[in-house]
Amino acid sequence: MIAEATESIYALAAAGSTLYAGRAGGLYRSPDGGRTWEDALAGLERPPGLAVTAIGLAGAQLFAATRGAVLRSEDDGHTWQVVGLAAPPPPLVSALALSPDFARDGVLLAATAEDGVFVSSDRGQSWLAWNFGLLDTNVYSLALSPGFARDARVLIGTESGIFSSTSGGRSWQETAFPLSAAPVLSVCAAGGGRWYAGTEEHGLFQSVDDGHTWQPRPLPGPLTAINSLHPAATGDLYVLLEDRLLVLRADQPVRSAGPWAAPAMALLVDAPGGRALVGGSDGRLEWVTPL
Amino acid sequence: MKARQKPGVVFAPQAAPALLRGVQTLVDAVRPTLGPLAGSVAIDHLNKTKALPEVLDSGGVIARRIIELGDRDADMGAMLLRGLLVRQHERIGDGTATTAVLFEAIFSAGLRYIAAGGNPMRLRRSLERLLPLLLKSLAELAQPLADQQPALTRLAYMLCQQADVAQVVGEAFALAGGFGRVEVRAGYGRELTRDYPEGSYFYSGLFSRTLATEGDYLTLETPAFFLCDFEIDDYHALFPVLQTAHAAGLPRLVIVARQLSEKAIALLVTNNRMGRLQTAAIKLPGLNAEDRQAALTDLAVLTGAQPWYAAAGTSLEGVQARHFGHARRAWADLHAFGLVNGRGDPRHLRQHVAALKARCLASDDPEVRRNLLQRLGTLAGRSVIVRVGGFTETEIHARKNLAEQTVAGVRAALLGGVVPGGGMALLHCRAALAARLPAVQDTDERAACRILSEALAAPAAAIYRNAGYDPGAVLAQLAGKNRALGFDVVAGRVVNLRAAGLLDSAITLQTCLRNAISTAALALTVDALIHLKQPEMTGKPE
Repeated sequence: MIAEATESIYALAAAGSTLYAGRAGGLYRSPDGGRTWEDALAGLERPPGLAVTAIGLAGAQLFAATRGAVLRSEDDGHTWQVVGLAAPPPPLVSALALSPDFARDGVLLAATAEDGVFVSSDRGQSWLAWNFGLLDTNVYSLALSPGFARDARVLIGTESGIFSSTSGGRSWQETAFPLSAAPVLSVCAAGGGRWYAGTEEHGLFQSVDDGHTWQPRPLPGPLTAINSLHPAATGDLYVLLEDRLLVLRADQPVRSAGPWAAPAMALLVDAPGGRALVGGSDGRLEWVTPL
Repeated sequence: MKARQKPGVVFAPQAAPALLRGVQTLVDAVRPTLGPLAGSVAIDHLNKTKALPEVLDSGGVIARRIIELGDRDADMGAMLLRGLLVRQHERIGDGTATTAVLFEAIFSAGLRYIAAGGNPMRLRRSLERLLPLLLKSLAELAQPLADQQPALTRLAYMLCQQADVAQVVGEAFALAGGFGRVEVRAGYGRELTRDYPEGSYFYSGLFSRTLATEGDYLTLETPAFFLCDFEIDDYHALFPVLQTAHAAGLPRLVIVARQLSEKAIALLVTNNRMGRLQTAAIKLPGLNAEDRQAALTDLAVLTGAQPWYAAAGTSLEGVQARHFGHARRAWADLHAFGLVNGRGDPRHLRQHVAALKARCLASDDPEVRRNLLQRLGTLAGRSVIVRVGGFTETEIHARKNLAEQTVAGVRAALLGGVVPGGGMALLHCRAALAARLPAVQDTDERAACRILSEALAAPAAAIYRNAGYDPGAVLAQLAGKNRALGFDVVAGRVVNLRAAGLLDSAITLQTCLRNAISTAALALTVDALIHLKQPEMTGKPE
């Protein structure tokens, strides 16, 4: 089954040369770098139009977020198990994040757009709502510290700002992110206590003290929604705005791609080549090399 | 009420020594409890029904239990100090032994100065004038306490000296934070346990068990909320609410009101049987108008509802769907109800929480602060219930008291910061007095400086003495050393106090200073004692 070309793309992930795309109609797999696509949920009975909004990968284990549930597979997506998050099911799972030490601790977190954060510590087999102290349960983005196994630090972007946890999501604290700059659509950790947050209308923010305080980082051009952030191993930061992709080095824009007419939604960075796969709300899926 | 006695008046010069005798008697009973290697005090049960004496290690509880001394003149001094300690114990739960020791040191030195010709009223004013200087000095020493569990557990252990209580309190505050709601309740088992209730809960339940669906319990998924402070007698008044909910296609509705008549409840039960709209009715939390107003505001912010106030009209005509709030889930029994993931505007909720936090930090009234902290914990969904068990009722009661004190101490440290422990912070405050002394010309103010400087060393000296060390020798060891250092009486050596976790709450020590100095300064002006036939007692002994 080939994805409908117009289905919105919400999430992208790669395992070696295999690509995965979460679309409005399900999860698709491409074994050849995106030239051809197949239905990755073929073995699963499901209602039509079951959108996959986030993807998590760890070896042969594959997780796909859908309405109210997380699909888990332990065999590269050949067979699937549906694990509900809670009753009534949260309407939208907005992000999934696996612990950097997932092979050992089996921890993954799911952010939902209305019901806060769910945590699983048994490789996605069961989930608990962990919203202790969370004043805003409209969560749009989620990121774990690279040293999560040691510091258990998690940051989430919400409708009203950014919250942090130093207990792996067990309890949440407000950060000094300005209320007026929210909502926060994307957040990522760049290591060394440095974090970035992308907002809907107010551009990019940076924290150098593990998310306690935040400062705006100017970006060139119009400030459209920042839908995805990706720190590359080279130290570059990929910033996916609705209409273009910017690559920052030492917080200065050095390369860009775009513009696009339809909003760009999902980003996958091919680290060695510096290329990026961008998915759009119009179903467009395109490898770009920022220049 | 105390025993009857013959009325009488005692004048100077007998009055002051009598007061001092009483103060010293009470302080001698409380002083052994100061410090980590403190002793305890055995005291007869007041009701005489229990053969074994109570063994106490809390200065506040000991002071509370001592209701009368045999020497009625001395009793007046003891009761003056007792009233102070009981109030402090009720309000902040910690630091009573420090206050007692400070009070005694200031009062006895002050009396000596007055006996040598000093003016009591001028001395009082001088002591009171120096208080802000010392409070400022303590504030400058304060540093924020890390909200990590190990640091909190260490501090809790310093306060209670019981590993299991410290562990639970440390964990509770690591998760709930300084503004969290930590309730200590008597448990049924032998262990110390804790619960972390999901969402927000209020102590007010269903109007009737006929509205419950699982015994006395009820849960509703995705309910709407209608909030008002009405006392609804006529069931017809509910029609607009039910009709609006029905027309809006709402499957479940929670009605919160101040009062609901039996007929109104019967209407809801009948409506529930029809199965189209499931309803629950909950009594508006709060014992007085102010509490009810606060609960209504908080529920409105949490759920996004628009409350209806009786003060603005007597009819519910005109209710619209936009007046309803929403939540992911609600639960209720006959005593409490709660909600999970209220659908109120999160920005509004955060602004409301920030405003309450500011009010809490600005308030000096412990009762106001307690209420605000409870509201903050409820709003933020940061509630912890600690259940204290034990083998006997007496043990449970004593451990519950200890846990409550520890909770109060850790919270104060989180909100107001910490200073070096073991009496060192008070010792460091002497530098501010020493710096001021050369510029002071007034004889009474110079005396006040010297009196306070000596008194500030008294708590540290008591801690060393209680642990079996010679205070003079220990203080000599510390002389001229870095201010971060202090003597750890458990380890028996000089340590870095912060690294060793030997810390005190800045707020608690400021309260100790404020209480001890202001009350001792006032007591120094007493010239006569008047005995009534049957004096009143401050604070119950139990």
